[in-house]
Amino acid sequence: MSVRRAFFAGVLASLLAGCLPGKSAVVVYTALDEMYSRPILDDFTAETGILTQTVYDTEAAKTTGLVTRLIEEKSRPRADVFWNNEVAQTIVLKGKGVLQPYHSQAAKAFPERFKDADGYWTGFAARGRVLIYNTDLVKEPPTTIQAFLDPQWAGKSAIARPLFGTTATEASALFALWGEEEAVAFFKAIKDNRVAVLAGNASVRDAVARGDYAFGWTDTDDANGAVEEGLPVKWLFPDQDGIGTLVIPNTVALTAGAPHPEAAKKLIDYLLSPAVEAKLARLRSLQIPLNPQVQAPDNVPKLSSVKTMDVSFEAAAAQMERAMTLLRGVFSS
Amino acid sequence: MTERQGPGKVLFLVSLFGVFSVIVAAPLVAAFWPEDSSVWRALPDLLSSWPAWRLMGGSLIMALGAALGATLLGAPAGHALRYLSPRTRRVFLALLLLPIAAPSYVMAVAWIELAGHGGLLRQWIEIPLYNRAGAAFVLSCVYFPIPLLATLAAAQRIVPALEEAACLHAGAMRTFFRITVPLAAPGTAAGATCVLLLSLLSFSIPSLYQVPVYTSEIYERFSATHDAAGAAAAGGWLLAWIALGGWLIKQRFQTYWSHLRHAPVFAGPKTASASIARWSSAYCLVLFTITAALPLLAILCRTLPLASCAAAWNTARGEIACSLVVSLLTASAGVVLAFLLGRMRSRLLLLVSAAAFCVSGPVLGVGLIRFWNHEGIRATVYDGIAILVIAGVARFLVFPQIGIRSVFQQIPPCIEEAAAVHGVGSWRRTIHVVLPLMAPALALWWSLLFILAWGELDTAVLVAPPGWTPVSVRLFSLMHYGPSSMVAALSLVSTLVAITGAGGGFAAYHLLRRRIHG
Repeated sequence: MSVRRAFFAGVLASLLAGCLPGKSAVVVYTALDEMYSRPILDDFTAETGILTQTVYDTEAAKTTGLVTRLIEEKSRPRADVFWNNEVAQTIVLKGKGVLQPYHSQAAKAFPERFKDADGYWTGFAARGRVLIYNTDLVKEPPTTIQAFLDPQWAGKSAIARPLFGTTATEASALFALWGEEEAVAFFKAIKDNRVAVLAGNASVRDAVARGDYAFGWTDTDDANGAVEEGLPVKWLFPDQDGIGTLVIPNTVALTAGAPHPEAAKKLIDYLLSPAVEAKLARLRSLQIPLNPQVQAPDNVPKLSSVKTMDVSFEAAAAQMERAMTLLRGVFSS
Repeated sequence: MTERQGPGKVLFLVSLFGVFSVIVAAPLVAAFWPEDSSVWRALPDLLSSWPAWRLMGGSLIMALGAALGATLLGAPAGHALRYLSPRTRRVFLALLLLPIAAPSYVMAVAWIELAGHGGLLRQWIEIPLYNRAGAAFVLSCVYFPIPLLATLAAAQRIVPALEEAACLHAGAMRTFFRITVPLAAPGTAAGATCVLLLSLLSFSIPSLYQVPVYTSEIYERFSATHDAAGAAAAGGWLLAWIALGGWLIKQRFQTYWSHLRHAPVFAGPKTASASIARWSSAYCLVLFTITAALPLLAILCRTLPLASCAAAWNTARGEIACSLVVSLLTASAGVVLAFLLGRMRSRLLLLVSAAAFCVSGPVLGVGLIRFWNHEGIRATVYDGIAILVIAGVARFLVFPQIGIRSVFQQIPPCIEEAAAVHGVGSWRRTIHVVLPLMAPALALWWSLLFILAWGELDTAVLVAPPGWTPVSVRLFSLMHYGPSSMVAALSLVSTLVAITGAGGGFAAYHLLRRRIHG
């Protein structure tokens, strides 16, 4: 009888978990891979005693993501902090009134182009959009994204579907940089050149490593992961003599009407600290520190050594909705 | 049987209707009725979108392929099971239901591990899975138990005298193809149509195999353009197609189902010889090996050494515990609600439940957020795992509703009338007369609801509260980010827990059935 009572008491407690006052906590919605973000959040809890309750994204599997959830919960937000692994969707959320400004002291060290002028978001620990190539199949690797249009590589290259994640951000950036007409023509030409459109950046990495394709378009964290696993691949920053490489930061933002604002601000300050950027740089995701004070390992590229694409994130985010609508039409079959 | 409705009973019916409304109807309405009516404005754009029509056509082709494949696999097995002894039939039935008991995305991963690039059989065969045909093939292997069960149910109700008379003049084979198969054909066709509709609604398998299907349109409108209104419109249009298909099925099969409901079940044909029984067993064994044993073996090989399973358990035990609690509560609440609604026998409520299933998971998820994410008691529900239980009940209530309603209709009214004549009130009749008779069916539908709730992903992604991640969401995330050995181990652990939970329900079904029938 006591076991049955204990079971039902536990069930009742879990059902009512929402209404029980708990110890200090902060709710985080994070799009960064759980294997990288969970240790950081656990360290925050260990240092501050503030419990983190986390919702991780499944964007890569094409399920509806955190952004949709944040928009729908706007009237009564459940999240305190949104930790995104890219920037354009964060700016979209700012436009929809989901975020509120917070000028963290820790954000002062970051370059102006990697943070919002009004304090709605701050970028940190960036990744680059790179070309990964199979060293067994490619002796002279392509150095520009125009290689996807080269008939020499017809049917031999791959990209992730440009409707999600950092590929969508890059597509939006190209729309902002080149204009709608040229950007659409570029992606149509990609499709006509039989470039494989795969599920995500990790799928591109795996396919190139297997030798299914000669090269592909992915992020530094995926590419470096393959290198560290000893797979026959290398990667490079494309268009260093041309338009430059898009460098996409993680972004952290405070949600409007956050239930635990003080704890949320502490978490934001923590995520923007040099220690966190140093930790993320040491991981196999090879996140590039944006804070000049952070000493990264030698194998991590320095931001100063990379020619970055000259496009504002706000301009890219402004193009996002239109770009996604047009690209859905291009890649619909 | 009619009787005067007292105020207590009226209050109960109103309360029941209220519970159904807040769980199922209100979120559905909230998904389609945002304040700015943008859903209805998005509908003309959708209907005039050639890519959307093309996606629907592609989805139909894939679904037709899956229905054909599932029928070719399942229908012969349904006939074969009829020629086996009851005990052997039960064993093979349990084995052949394994593919549908495991979450569909687990089976998709299992087939990749078995026959995909780098799979277990790569030295001998590589099935091209990453296309429409591959997705249809795997859907066939997952859903074939449906035409199997439908064919078996139909074949068991064929009057044996018909087959025996035919065998006097023709051989067993001619009798089988000229008499047995045509008489069971309506059941087979009904099962095939169910597979067609389920395949049309499928997302996880086509998504993992990168096949563009219509359900992808709904997800992309949410994720790529944050067009919730467009996504709801797309979900509504899919619902319209399913409703049309459902209406056509009802027109075609209603008479047959009425017959099936009241027809007695006969023992296997006396004309069956020992060799037919052996061939039947062989076919069932081969089918089980191909569709369940080999894919699950491939996952097992990927998890070796078995320490991976222990690592998967340690990594995801919180998620497993969450899913276990949610699945137990969803199955229990769903069966209770379906039982009470079955007494009301309302076709409208059944249609609303069907709509909640047929409109895609994310659309329902958005509706749940819009309805439940408000201050007050609704916030208490939304912020705890109760929202996951409500999501599961809302999505899958239609299945126990249909099944339990059908069982209600088989209970002879005279039993309740006899109790009423002796002064037994409505509640006592329900608890002491009807419930014991229905207990086996309730246990069976509890098992099914447990399996469905365990594997639910589409809605859970949107409403899972912070810190309460179901194992389905964790597994689907790991499929992209994690090492394949961890994915395989967690898939195996997840499948074992699902089968164990459902197995408990099936065991209860057999025990209760034996108590009633002796």
